[in-house]
Amino acid sequence: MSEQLQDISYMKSLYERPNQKWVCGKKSTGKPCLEGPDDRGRCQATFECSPRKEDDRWFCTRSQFLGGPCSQGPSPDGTCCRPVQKCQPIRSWRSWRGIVTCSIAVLTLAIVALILTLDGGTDLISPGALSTGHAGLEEECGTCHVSFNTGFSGWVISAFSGSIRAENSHRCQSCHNLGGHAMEPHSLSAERIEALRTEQKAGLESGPQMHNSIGGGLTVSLSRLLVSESPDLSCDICHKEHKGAGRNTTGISQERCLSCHQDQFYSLSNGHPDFVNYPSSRRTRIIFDHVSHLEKHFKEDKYSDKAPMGCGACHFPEVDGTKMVVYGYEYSCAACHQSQVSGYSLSGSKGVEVLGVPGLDIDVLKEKGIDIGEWPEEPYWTEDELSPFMKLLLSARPEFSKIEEVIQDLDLLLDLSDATDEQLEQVKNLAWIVKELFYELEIKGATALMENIRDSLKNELRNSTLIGLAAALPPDLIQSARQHWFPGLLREIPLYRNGESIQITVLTGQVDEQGTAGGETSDDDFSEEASEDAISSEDRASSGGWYREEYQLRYRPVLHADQFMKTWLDVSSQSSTAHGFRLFEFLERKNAPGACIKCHSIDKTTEKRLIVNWKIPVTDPNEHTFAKFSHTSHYSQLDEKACFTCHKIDKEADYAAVFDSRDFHDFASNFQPISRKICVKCHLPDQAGDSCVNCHNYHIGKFPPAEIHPKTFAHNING
Amino acid sequence: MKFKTRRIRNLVILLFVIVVMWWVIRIYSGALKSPHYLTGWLLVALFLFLTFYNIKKKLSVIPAGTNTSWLQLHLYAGLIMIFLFVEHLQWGLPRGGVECILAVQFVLVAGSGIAGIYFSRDFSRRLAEQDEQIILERIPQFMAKLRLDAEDLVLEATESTDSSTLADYYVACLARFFSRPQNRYAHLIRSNRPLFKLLNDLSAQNRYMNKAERKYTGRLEQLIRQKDMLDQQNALQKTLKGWLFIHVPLTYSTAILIPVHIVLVYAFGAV
Repeated sequence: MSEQLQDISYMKSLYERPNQKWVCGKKSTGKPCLEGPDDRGRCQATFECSPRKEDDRWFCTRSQFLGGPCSQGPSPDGTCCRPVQKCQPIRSWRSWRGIVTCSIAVLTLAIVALILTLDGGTDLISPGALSTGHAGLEEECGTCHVSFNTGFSGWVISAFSGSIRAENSHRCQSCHNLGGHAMEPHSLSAERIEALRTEQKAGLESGPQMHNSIGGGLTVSLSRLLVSESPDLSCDICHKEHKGAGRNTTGISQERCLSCHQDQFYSLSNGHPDFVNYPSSRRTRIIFDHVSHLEKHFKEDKYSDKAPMGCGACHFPEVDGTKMVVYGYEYSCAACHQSQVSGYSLSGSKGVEVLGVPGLDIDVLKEKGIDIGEWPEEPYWTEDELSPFMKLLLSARPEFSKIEEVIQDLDLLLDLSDATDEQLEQVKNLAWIVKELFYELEIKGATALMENIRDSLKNELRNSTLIGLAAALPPDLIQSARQHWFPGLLREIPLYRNGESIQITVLTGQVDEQGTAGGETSDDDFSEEASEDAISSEDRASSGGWYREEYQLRYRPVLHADQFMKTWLDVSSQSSTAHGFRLFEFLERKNAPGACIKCHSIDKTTEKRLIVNWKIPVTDPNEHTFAKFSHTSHYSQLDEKACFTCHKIDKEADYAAVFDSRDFHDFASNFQPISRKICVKCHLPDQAGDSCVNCHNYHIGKFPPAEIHPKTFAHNING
Repeated sequence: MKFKTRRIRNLVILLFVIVVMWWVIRIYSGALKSPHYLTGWLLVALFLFLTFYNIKKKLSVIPAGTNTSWLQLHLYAGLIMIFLFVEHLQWGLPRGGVECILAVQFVLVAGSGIAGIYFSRDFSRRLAEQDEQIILERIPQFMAKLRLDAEDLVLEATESTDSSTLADYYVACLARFFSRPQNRYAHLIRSNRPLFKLLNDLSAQNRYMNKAERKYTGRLEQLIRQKDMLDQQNALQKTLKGWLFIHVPLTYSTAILIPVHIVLVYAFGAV
């Protein structure tokens, strides 16, 4: 054992005071003084001792640590003879620690003061860069943070206000319009949430599809206890900003969803309710039987060369990739179905009868002396009736309802032998209002037609609609028809209106060989050769439009989406009048010209109105539904089965039959419902992910995109 | 209770508390609440508790357990705080200026604290293993004494042997060694290489010394060993106190920044 350096025995060891600020500067020389510096760092050393006086004699009092009393002793005046050389005291460790601590504290305060007061200091306050979508707001913290421009004192006040998060959330909504219930669960009204809750409860109790698997675990159960009835749903609860560019700000954990939802499960693969008829929430708007086309028509020799080679021949994804839509009639359907639309393959008339002269029992009228003026005989022989169009147009006249009431069955018009005087009187009235209609059409042209339509439908129709309904009815056609059907009409009507009786005059021989009742080409105009070559007026209107056939003015639709047919079907389907509805029934026949309803389904709306589904609705990009799916995102996952990987054909489904119903919920899809198991193949935590928000939106409703900030707008205008 | 048993018990409790906290944070988060507020306020509470240890040390009259118990609580609460801090940051890195400063401070405080635990465990044991435990404040004067002893020895050797070999060697190699603390980092990592090198060098000088001179090298070697022991004590003790130069000042600095951070978070209402 080596020699000990330190003797800590009593009387030989000085007491160290490390908590004092200063220590003797001579410590490093090994000879520190005993007194040490004062608390301000001044050396207090003078002499090695302070001599003590006893009687008249001074005695040395030097400490034993310095060797005890010295041999020289004090001087006669009592001064120690051993002065101590002054030193420069040094700080103790503890003192240095205090200085460092104070310095860093002051430095921190200075940094805080600089941050809070300097202009550029706000950059340091920012908890991080904004996401890409908000990147433009980096310099304008006050755009999102209500209290930003109130200064530090304002921040302190705001910190204690308790409502700042809600106020900030309102700022979010100044751009992100989430409707009137933005801060409520799912941005839905309380009533809607309650309705959904009730619906869900019913499903849990009765529906086998609802899978209440595990209660979400203890964590979720405890979380649910903490969720209040009206939880604070500030935007920042889920949307975490200032996490840097490119970071997702819309993530939400499964647990958070489950803390409110009644149906509890772990994940898509574990406990998620099975899909119910996914993705069909309703039947297709366009009636297209995939099975019959794939299994039958496309295999027929007649069509096989026109058959598509794959799903992509007819379907393509929408811009956002969500929905697969159809290229459209011209591209996908026309090759096979155009002859049906243009009427070439129709067995009946290719044009729809719009205006016409009804056949009347001329003999009886003449015998009874009913004064209806000129009236052609041929409609009686051809048993022409009032078309639904005519009935609708005549219904605009107040007397027509009386006429209808008396002449219950208008078939009676062709046999008036048993008609009463009152009925004959109403037949007379009918004849005159028909003539009045043609008179007005000649005098006013299409204007009269549009007025009649408007009055008869009792609807406020836009001009564009009325024009569509009139379908550019040519005035010359009306004039020529009138000239041959009622040559003296322009003379008769003024007389009739003056109350004069105009004796019945039966007109005969008004129809030429081509079936045109007094067309521009009369019999005399036809040579024998020309007469043989001439085709019917219907065929002459093969390019579509108006034509006259016997005592009827017909309209022939040829092209797809014919404006006349489409507008009349739309207007009549919405009509509240009986004649309007009868017209709709007339137009919706399977063999009606245009064959519109062969493919375009009809739905009954909740208002008990009918609506013709002309188009497959385009997904509104502003519409946020509960479930979301992107077809394009899944393209890379398709195997050799392509679309049939998920969309499996159901050959047993009676697809076409359900369209007799007007309830769009009645549906027998050509495809089997997509099973959750198909999704689960990939949507696992370590693969494609199985979080709720993978497939579900949180904010539900129709929300327009973020608006341009008015300040920015004004700034740009003002340069 | 044995130290080992106590440590295992404390670590089990620590682990249990961390697991419970992890679970509570998830419950809280699942309840549509921001876990940052929960972890933030827990951090504040623990921070106050940890700083109270300093007050408790100074006010030993407070009848609230021994300082040893408080130190134990301080250590384990500190470890819990590290977990909460990581949860507060959501296992990521801070991005804002103030947040970065605060986080760096916390890391330094926590890091120095962990280093302090290591120093107080390892260095104390090493100091206890020494033949002699020198009070830190006395080390300079003992160093001075050893230097004077060595110089006196060399002078005596020169005078008595009429040879300057030892003196020349002292001036060339040993004067610097005796003049101030040496080889701090070597001592911290338990390295004796500098000492062995000096002793080897001294031993190598023997061939140049006459017989009379060699009698003094034994004493000089003893002085070198004592100086080396002092150097080691100096290095270990200063490190034992030195980590507090980071831990304590940055704790105060953190204490200043925490209210600022809280005000900013609540004023801007976004976490």
